[in-house]
Amino acid sequence: MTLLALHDVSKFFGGLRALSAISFEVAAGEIVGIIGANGAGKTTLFSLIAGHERASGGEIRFEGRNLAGMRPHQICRLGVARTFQIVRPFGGLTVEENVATAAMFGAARAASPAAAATRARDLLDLVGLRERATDLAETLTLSGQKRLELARAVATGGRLLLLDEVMAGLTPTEVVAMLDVVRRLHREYRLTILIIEHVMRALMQLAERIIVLHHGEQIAEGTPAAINADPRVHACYFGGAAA
Amino acid sequence: MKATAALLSILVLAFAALPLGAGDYFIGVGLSVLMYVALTQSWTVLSGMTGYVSLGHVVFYGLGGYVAALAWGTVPLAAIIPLAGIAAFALAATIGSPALRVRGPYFVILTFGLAELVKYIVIVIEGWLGKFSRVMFGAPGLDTLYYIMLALAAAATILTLSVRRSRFGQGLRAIRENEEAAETVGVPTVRFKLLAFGLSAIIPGMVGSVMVLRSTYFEPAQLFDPVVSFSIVTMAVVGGSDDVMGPLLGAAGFVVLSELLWANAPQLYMIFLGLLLILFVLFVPEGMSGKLFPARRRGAR
Amino acid sequence: MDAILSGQLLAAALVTGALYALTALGLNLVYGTMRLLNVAHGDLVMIGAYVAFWAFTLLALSPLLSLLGSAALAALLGLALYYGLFRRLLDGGKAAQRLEANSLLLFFGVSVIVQNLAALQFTSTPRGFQYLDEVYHFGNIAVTGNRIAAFLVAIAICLGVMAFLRFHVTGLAIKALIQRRDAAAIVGVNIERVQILTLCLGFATASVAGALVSMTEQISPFMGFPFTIAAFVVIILGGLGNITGGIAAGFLLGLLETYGVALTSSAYRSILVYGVFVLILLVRPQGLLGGRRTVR
Repeated sequence: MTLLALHDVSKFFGGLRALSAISFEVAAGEIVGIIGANGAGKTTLFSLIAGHERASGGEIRFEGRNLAGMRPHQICRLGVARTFQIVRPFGGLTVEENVATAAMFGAARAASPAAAATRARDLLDLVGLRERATDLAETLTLSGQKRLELARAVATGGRLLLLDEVMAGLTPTEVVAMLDVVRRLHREYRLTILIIEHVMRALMQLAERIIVLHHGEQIAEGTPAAINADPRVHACYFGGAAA
Repeated sequence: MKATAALLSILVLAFAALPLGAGDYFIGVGLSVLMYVALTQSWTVLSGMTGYVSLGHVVFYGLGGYVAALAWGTVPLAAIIPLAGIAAFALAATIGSPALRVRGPYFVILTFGLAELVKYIVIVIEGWLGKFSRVMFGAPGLDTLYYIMLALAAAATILTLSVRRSRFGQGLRAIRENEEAAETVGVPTVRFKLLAFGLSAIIPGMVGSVMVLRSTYFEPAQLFDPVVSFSIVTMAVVGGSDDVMGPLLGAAGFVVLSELLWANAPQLYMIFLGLLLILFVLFVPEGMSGKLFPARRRGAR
Repeated sequence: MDAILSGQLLAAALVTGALYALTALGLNLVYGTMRLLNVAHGDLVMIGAYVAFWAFTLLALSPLLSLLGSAALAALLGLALYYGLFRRLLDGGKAAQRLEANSLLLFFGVSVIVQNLAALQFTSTPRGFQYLDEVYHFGNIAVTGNRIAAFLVAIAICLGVMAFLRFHVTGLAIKALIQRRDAAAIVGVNIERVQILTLCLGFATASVAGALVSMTEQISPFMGFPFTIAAFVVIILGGLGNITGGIAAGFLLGLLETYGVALTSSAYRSILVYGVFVLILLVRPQGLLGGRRTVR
């Protein structure tokens, strides 16, 4: 079943073309990677899907529904969750409250504070933050905050998870741990994942399919092996002409 | 939770008993304390919970007073007070939508500007009507007004408590911590902010109507005095806006202070207020209630 | 309307506009470089006015000379405020937004203290003095000497500051700081020094405006508020941190106010100013330099 479908999506900021003619589909249960140099339009794409920005053209459909004109919280309720490239925790709330809030308001709509707390604790266990549950979110390290962001996004109960550079800034050991967490979440919560990443090693192991963006355009799509071998991708991204 | 309920019940009983034994002066002081409790608790529903600091809350107080001044004589008391509340809610609902799109410090100065704007509009309207002040005859006595104010203070406190413990309150807190993230996890930010704004306006409107009847005198510049807005903010900062007890501490402290200083040296009182605001903003951002009851910050509030 | 009235109004509008432009200039500089909303700005005008008043009354010193004293005093206050208060905040490290909201409350507290100290010291009775009030005639227009002097001095200072920002190294540093703070640091601008200088300059220009105002208007401890609001209207109208825009907007506000009041009545003056203030904030909610996009 197709969970997410983009058709000819474009985004202009004034005269600046951030995205054009983006078309692809994501089937339920897939993990699809998105790569591209900085400024290629990856985060803009996520902003469009999650509703923070309005597309200038084209259509975005989630489970068949057109998302045009919907506000972020409505899209979240439908089942789309996202993490941010620069983490945005609820700093003054505890780690558990961060996740419980998402459980209360997201698609999962926890029936009571107790149910939300339970869901939160389960997720914190999975990402390894359970011991920090009563600490304020702003006291976590970057790695901790990234995992919190992840737990919070999944807590919303969304079926589609948009991960924006969750590995950025992590040490190699932390990357391995995060990879493991993402796989477990994918499996146990039956998620469909769209993941932006620069850490190639991690992405190649995770994604079944990769889409390559360059200057707002979709220049290639295929398995990790195919993308790796594609000369156009090499030219644009892996060290051909400067981006 | 139980401790809070018990403490608050005792306070209500204490305040209820006051007029039975005390003279008019102390009843008046009690009235002032209750007034500021009602105002500050209502204020925290918006500004404490969402972080959208209102420096113009006197506008709801003044509007409620104006409604009472206009309606007195033609509308019975029991209808005037709710009417004042409704008028304040209506004002909040109207200006809330555009106003709440403004963030951070701009929202703060916007609310101040709005309050002043409404004040001058009322002055002009009164000028058209040929009135420069209004006097109310046959207003209810001090005791009656006192008990009405006690009810309002209790209502405001209950409102604050309910909001804090509700899903709505959790959403407001999320908005305060990071509005964009809150919306991303499903909090309907626009609707929630507007509701908080409206709720924070109702009781101040009713308080204004009571106070106009207390002084039996209405004059726009006096009733829309920015010092009231400023006092509310200072009480909340000093008392602490993150806990139901904060406004109680702040209001009591300040009314006592003003009784001691105001008559002789109003400027000294204001200077002291300014100093306290600065000291607390810099060194004690969690306020007195945050310092006295730190454990209350976590878990059930 | 009569030609006479138009000319007369225009003269009044220009003087008012020049004073607004000068007052707002300081606020713009301080906001642009440090993102601090100084709601006590109008009180600097008040301080400058009182210095000029007492200098004239006690020492028979012309405000055109004592404005130097006003400027010096204000600059000292700026230094004291920086080292006493803002060092602590600017080093805080916490989110910048929290700082902006906090600084507002702090300045508010300062404003209350300053106003009431003045009221305590000087009483609330408005005061005034006569200086340069011979009337000069230009064709059909009659203007008092003090208004001409105020206009000329205000314009001179505005142009002087614009030239400073354009041609002097430190002026360029200020502009750099306004535009991109982090980039300025990287190219070697001494952020702290420039901030201190800007704060003192901003405070000084405001109090000079006060000295000029004292020649033409009555002064009182609480006269600052309207100037603060006017200054805010001007800097938002002209674009936060846009110095030239602010000066133009100052004149615009002067024109709006003078003609608006003439066409209606003085009771509407406050409604006009606060109305414009509220309207701008509502219509331009982003209010940031460079028109940063709002999230929908």
